[in-house]
Amino acid sequence: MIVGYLEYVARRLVRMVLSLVVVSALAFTLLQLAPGSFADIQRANSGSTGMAGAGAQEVAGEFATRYGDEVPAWQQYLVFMKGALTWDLGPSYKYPAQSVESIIAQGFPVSAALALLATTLALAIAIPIGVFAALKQRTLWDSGSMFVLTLGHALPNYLTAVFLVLVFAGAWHVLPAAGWNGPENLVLPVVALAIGPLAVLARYVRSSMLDTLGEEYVTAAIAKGGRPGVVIRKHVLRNSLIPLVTVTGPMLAALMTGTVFIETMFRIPGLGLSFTQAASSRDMPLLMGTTLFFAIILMATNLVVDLLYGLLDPRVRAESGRKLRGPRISRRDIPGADPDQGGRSGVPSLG
Amino acid sequence: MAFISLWVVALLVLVAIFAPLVAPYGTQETDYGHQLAPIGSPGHLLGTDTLGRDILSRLVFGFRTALLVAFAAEVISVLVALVVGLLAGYRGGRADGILMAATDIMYAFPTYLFAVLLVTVFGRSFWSVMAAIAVAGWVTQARLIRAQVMTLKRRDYVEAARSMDAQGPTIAMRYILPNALGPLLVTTSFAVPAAITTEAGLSLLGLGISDMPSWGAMINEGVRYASSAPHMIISPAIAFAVTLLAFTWIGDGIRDAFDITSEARR
Amino acid sequence: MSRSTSPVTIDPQAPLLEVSGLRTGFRRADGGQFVAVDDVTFRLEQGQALAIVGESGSGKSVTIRSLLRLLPRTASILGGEARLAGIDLIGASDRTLRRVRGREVGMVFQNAMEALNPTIPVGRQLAEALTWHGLCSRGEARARAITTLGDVGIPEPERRARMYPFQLSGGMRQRAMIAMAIIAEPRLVVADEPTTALDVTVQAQVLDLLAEIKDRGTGLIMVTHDLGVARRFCDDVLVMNQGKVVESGRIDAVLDSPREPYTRMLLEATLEVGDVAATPPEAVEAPVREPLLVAERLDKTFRSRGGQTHAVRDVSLAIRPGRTLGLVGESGSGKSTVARLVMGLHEPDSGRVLLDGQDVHGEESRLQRRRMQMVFQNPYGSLLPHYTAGANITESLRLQEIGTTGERTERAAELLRLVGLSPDDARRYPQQFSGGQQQRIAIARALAPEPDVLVCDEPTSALDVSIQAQILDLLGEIQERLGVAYLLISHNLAVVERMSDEVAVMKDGAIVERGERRAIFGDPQHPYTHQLLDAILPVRGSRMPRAAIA
Repeated sequence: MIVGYLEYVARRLVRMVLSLVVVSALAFTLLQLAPGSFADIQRANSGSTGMAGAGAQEVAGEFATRYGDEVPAWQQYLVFMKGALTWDLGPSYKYPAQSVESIIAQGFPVSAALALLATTLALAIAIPIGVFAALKQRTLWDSGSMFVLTLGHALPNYLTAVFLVLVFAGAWHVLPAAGWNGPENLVLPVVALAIGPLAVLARYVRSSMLDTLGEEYVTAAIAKGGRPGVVIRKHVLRNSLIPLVTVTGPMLAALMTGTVFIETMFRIPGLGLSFTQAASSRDMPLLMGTTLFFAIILMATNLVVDLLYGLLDPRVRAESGRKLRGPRISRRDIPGADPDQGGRSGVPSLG
Repeated sequence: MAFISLWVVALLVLVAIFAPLVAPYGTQETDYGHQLAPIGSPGHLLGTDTLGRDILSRLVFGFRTALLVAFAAEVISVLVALVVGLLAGYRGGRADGILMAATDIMYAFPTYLFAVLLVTVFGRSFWSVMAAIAVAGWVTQARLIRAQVMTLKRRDYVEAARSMDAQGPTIAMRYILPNALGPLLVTTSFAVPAAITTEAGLSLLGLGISDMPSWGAMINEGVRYASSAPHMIISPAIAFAVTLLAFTWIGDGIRDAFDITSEARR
Repeated sequence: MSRSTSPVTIDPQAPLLEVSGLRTGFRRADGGQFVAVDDVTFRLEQGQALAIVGESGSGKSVTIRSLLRLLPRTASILGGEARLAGIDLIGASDRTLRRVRGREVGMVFQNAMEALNPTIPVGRQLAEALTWHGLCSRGEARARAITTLGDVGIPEPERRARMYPFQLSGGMRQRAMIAMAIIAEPRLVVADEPTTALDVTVQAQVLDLLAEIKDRGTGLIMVTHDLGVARRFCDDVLVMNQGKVVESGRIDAVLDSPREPYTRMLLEATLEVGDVAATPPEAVEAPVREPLLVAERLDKTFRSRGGQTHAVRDVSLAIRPGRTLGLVGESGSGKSTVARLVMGLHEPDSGRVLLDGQDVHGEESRLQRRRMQMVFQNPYGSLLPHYTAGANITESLRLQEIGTTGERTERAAELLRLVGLSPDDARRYPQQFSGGQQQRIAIARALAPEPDVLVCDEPTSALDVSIQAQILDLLGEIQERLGVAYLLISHNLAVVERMSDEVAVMKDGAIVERGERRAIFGDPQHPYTHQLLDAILPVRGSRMPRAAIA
């Protein structure tokens, strides 16, 4: 079993590297298609981004020495990838004084901190709500909390942020509307980021709990004379929270990379903001670098999730040695499609 | 809830179709002297923005944009997903390999970032925004259809059909496809509000369609003036929220309807 | 080990279990009540075993689950009394009931794979039944879990206790679950279809184990649809139908001389090996004709990432026109794969299938294949849910472009009549029919292109015995009228004996024995065939001819 598991890990790693090569090549090709090629983009863009003529010249020179003038695109790609392997992504176009890797190194901790705080907040609230709603299935508690969660689920985080800003910054003046100066600047962005995932997670916990409660082994545990609390703790909670890993992991990864809107709206100097600015100013090296970095983060998270799932669930562990592909179609693929089926009758009343 | 939402959405769609008749002003018409008119001003029901443009008119046309992009993107992504998903699920082999590779790659890009990248490259036109949304969406739906087809393929009735000497295309089109459409309808109904969200999101970042009014752009501007002129953001935000909720509840309704039938069948 | 003083008051003089007037209802979606258990009364003495038998929907499972209040939320006990050694179960507080569950009453479920928690090692799940009742310390509980696993016949119990349920074989899992039910030494063990999911040879072992538990003085209630299982060691029987007790009494008396028409019907519908042998052979034997369908040295290996399964090894078969070949074996024996190879649904690795001398798998096989049709185990799953019954029946004709629409409608009506349904049923959808009716439709569909061979894969395994008898009768009639040959695949020896002219016994992908039906059942040669026949549980005390019961 151990050997199979290790082999599985190794194969997943190989596949991840292959995907990264494809992703980088694809992104590079796409950027080549943009008006103005990768290396001489600065000419096409100088002036439009408000950069001083002298500075543009200087950068142009730097680019020419790094990527070579008038060389085929695939050679530029090789140069870029060679640099990427040694964590040397070259200078940014927009901020010629800074290298792409230093921009990422500055921005990522900010985005990651937001994402971690938001995920923790979401989990801390979602699990109790989901568990409670499942145990009180078909009561006002259940339908009420699920109704409220639909609101959080349906609205994108930037819209939630708008409402939060209107209330807490606009009407009550208790929190700053934007900026990045202290802990008080964290509150609104983190809450805005957490609400969507919270809704998804709570619904997931609820339906997962209901599934587990309907299992025969729960009935069997009750038949052994277990107290409701013990049965729920030992047999229901564990088994219904294990699959949560598969949802939480990608969610955390998406938040780490996808805080774009929130960072833009609240003017937070994270990686998302850099990415957006790179896109609107056509800063190709920065775009390329961040894209690759995001891809690594997402793939690594998916890998960790699958491996963790295997460690937590003995069945998956036993199987992972044999099958290459983890359970990848998860609830997040089907927005809002977590099955809160109404008519479940197989759930025994505990107690 | 789903029923009320259906009426709301029907009304909204009508408004979008007959936008020029509904909207009191054009989207670029400016009313000098009446900049930043508040809600309820005479002639401007929802007020005006910093340039004196009528907010209600911009809302109406903005919704038209969102709906147009969302539906066009969904039609394309569903069609592509249907073909690839059916092939991958039924035939397996190379089609399946391609879908798997595409999935790996698509999952390496967060949806928004991919859309941002595409729009950066191909410009801020209607087509590139729509394509960005469609490209970002088709993999998920193709995988869903693939999973559905693979389940249905193992059903006894498919084996029964094979024993009646039905050939592959017949089986796929006559027996598998009709039974795979339910879940597809459910995801599509959720994908429409998601596409609307993406379209507005791109505009919010300043990467939306450059020559069409968008809710995202209105929210972007509104946020900037949130403290001095909150009316600029309140009505777009509320209209946006209501629209998304209505679509989501319709999706919920469709999902529940399919859940019931699938349960009753078993 | 001595029992610590029980926290609930036990009256040793009282009968072990006394149930009277028990009524349990389910809340319907429309707000009404569906009474699943209606006025059930019975009594069980210490060390006795009671069988509750009935077809699906008879309320037998709900009855025993009502005793421990292991009911779905929508169900509630409407009335009646139940006393376990003097303890009132119906009126008991949740606290009292918890002390009864597991401690005084152990429960065995139908499917151990579902009744054991997949993420907790088996030993720990057993130990819970002790520690939850405060019967001993954690360490002692672990030790006793290992002892009990050994007691139920699991080899290497220490190692097995650390394993997860999915790592055990089916038979071992079932034993582990029984161990979990008896570890706290309850007065009463309640078993809900404990062997239904098992193969006959494993079933025999599990029943031996339950009989042993009974011999130790534990009371036993066994819920089953299988009268043979009930008779194996039960003293009394309760026959249930639609929530009500139809008949009860000593099991020998009830099964040998039933008083109620329902019990009689149930017994009559129950097939037993030996029934056919007792009937006198037909006066006129049909002349032996050349085989219609021949399978020669079929071999098939399935490859997957996990390795390979040699599903069919060198299997040869021959079926004569208008006759039936029964293929019998346990699950995993490869019998269904043989059916699919014969039908041309799988390609064999080697060997060939000839119909009238022509290769079924060849290029020119399409016309040939239409002459073979198949009937599946799960009737609903094999019908297209989005087609009407009529469209399902005529689909093969439509595919082959045989006849006009009118002629096909005509044919559907004719076939529906043939299988005992009304032509009006053509317009209804599969889900509007009962399981037995769905199987009739599936048979009609298979007959539509006028096949010469019908491959029937476990055609009655998903059906209740009374329905099974009807479907088998129908298949018999059809063969007589149309002269269709059958390849009948079944795990049920009685079904095979009833239907077949010749029989082949499969084990691990190969045919171990074949021959005339009477030879196989009367004078088996292979030890495996012996083992299968020995595992059969007789329903009627002496293998009486069926006529004597009616």
